[in-house]
Amino acid sequence: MGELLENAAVGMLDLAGAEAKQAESKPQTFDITAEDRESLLVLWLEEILYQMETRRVTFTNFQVEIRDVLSLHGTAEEYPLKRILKFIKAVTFYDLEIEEDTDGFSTTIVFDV
Amino acid sequence: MISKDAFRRMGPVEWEIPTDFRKDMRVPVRVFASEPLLEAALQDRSVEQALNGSTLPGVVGQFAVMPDVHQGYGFPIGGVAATEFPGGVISPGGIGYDINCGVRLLSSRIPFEAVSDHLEKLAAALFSKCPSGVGSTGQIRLRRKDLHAVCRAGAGWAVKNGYGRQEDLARIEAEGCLQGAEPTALSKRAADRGRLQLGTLGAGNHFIEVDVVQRVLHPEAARGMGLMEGHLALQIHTGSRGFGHQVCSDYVREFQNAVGRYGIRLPDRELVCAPMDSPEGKRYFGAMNCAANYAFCNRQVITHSARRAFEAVLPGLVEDWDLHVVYDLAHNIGKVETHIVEGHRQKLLVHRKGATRAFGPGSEELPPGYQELGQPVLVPGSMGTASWVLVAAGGAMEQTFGSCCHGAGRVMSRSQAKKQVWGAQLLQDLKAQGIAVQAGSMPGLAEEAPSAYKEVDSVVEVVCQAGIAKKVARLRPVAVVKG
Repeated sequence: MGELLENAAVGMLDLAGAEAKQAESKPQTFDITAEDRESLLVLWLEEILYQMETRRVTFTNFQVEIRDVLSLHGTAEEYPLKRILKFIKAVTFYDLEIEEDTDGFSTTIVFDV
Repeated sequence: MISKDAFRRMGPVEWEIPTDFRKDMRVPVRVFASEPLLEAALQDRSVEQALNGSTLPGVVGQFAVMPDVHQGYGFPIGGVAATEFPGGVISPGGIGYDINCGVRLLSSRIPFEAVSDHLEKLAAALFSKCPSGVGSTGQIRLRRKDLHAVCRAGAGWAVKNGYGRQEDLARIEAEGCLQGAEPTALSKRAADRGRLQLGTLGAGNHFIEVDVVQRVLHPEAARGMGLMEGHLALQIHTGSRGFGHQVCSDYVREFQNAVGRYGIRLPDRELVCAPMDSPEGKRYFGAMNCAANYAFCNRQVITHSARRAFEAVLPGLVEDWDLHVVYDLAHNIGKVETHIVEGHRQKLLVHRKGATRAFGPGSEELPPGYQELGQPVLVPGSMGTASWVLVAAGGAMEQTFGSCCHGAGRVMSRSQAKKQVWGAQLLQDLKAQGIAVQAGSMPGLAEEAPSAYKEVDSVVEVVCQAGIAKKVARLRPVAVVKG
């Protein structure tokens, strides 16, 4: 589940075309709790979008640890944001379902752009 | 996928899926479309989303689907549902993330011929004076108490602070200020995002467009709106920016639990809702009205900036370069209105997502100049084709809770458009058509290519044939600013 959240964040930043300035990185931590795992995923991605827009930063090297089923502790390297190419308005719950099988967790996330 | 067999044809451009199609439907789904437009709607999941919308508790009459419908999240874009007020529910997914995304049209007495050689300069001035693009911020820095004042006063805040004139307000839906705004219902995040973005266009499908009034089809209405053939007009399409997105996100998340608390079962989590008379429902309504008023204020500030841009370029070319508000209306909104349902007047919460209010002649809510004519309805097309100015007709009140289409409607997703269209080539093509373009991003321009949209003329034909609206004027774009 932690890896799913890490990959979801990387995918979202790629979709946004987020580009970092060449600068020293800073460590950043995230602690999020939700009512169910789909909400945890949405909250996690929303937190990253919010930081990007209000603090003009972007992130790499996400590490997510699921502390119990419904809370996470995440770390990342934070860089000043040079630019983004695509504005993501919101992370939606549309058809959102996290599936688990023998290969691990998977999901499809629909963003409002 | 839903097939055409699911529909009963109710008229030349009216199609219905009755409630016995799916057990959880509470009202029929009524689609306004020509056969080709219905077939286009069946290519994505928009009709399925309309069926989902028809299951909302307290929904009355019918779930109306406009001819520009396309797939959204929760509701389709181009969907209208009315719920009992206050006994029914309110659904953020039935209003949209960009709360009070809308269009403002301004008229002028500027003859196109007088300025046709200066369109590039005019587009550049608009681009420079109206901040646009991904994450753009404006010149206005709102303190917390200023933001609350914007939330309560809407466009009136802008006029009071020098961004426009008193007479602008009369020609805005609800005079640019919805009652019931409650700033205490806003999260800190929403406030953070709202403080820096007032007066900005944003990106995506938002635009400022200079048009020429190509053809007038309803001279009396055009005269009443100040539109003259061969003269310039200006459209502004934007909404509540990150502020509104955050309000919607906050409450879609909060309502995930509310549905369980109130025993509501839904086919899609994005449709989450709460009873209008519940604490959660009231808080969202208060926050949504804040975002709606912010959007009215945003378009008012941009109007001021656009007037400054015209003033920077046009003196010496024309004697009068002023811009006059024709109308400003929301197309992502939830409003308390009174309509007749099964012969009885009833107070309702009308959810319009990608649908424009269209109150016909005689509506007391319209300003004096429009009470006899009916409300102007603004239908922007794609940047390379045309836009339409319509006037609402009586049929809108009877068939769609006083609602009409809001644009051409996409036929191609943004990612498909980017794969098929090269932004730089599109820019050249538009220039060859005599359209000056200022765009912050070439991929962003490609996403909004004319080929990504339905033919706006065919969409407008449907609403006119259905008796929802009448044609007033066709506008042709001559300069476009996109973020």
